[in-house]
Amino acid sequence: MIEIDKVNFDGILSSFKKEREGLAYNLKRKLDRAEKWQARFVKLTDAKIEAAAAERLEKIKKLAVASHITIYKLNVGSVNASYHRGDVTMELSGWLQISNEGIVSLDLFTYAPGYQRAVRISVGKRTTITNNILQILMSKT
Amino acid sequence: MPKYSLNDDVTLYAEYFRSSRRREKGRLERNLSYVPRWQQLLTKLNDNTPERLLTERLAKLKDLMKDNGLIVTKKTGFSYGREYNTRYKKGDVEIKNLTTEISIGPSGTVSVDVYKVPKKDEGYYYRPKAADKVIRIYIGEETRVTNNVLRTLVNKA
Repeated sequence: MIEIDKVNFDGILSSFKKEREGLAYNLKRKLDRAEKWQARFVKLTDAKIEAAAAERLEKIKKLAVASHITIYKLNVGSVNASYHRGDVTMELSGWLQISNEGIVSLDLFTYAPGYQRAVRISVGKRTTITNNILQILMSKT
Repeated sequence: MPKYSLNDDVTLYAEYFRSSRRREKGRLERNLSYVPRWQQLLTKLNDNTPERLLTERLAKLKDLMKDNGLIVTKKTGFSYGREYNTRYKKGDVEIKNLTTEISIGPSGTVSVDVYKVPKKDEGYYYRPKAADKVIRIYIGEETRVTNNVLRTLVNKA
């Protein structure tokens, strides 16, 4: 007795179709992402952004001094600093970030307990300085 | 002891930023270099010729399996119904317990490999080797049938 009909030919065919559909779906998604990559790639090849970031770093250094902040150590990913004005002294730590668009931002937090954001300086097309020192001092008293 | 200089750190930081951008640029460049290949593949996948060919070839396979004396006894494995237990019977020659695997190529080619596989022991998975192949049927642009039944019988004796 020949039982060739036990072979699931329809299943084989449908799984083949599904595999192809799955592959096509994945490729479409990748190609959609490629458009974003292209836009990002253009930004990355723009040397102006690098030059601007270097300038902004210098600017942020000056702004920190103007905001009574002394930076002790600047590592990739972490900053140790202190705030000193009159008889107020506060030890701070945080990070300095440069985004791919060249926006430079310095975030400084108080130590434990609390880890409150004390100062944020961001230099992009606009410059913003947020100083919460007074608020932190008020909440302590 | 050298005096700590914030200026040096800032310079280093700027350099780190540049090198990080360079790294990302390289990564994106590599990804973007795949795009033409992906587009080609997608065009191929949108073309339904392989599906049509596969339908025809599977119909042909049915006849070829019958002609070559392959009798499917039961379905095994989990891979989309492509693994079967078969028996070879032609004239007075009969080989039992054959493992059959149907493989489909991306362009719709069909190949059937029939192996003589020893009985499975507990906790032991036997991977069939080329030497264990009893019959191979390939249907692509051309059809090929490789019959090693005689060799299998001689080895057995």
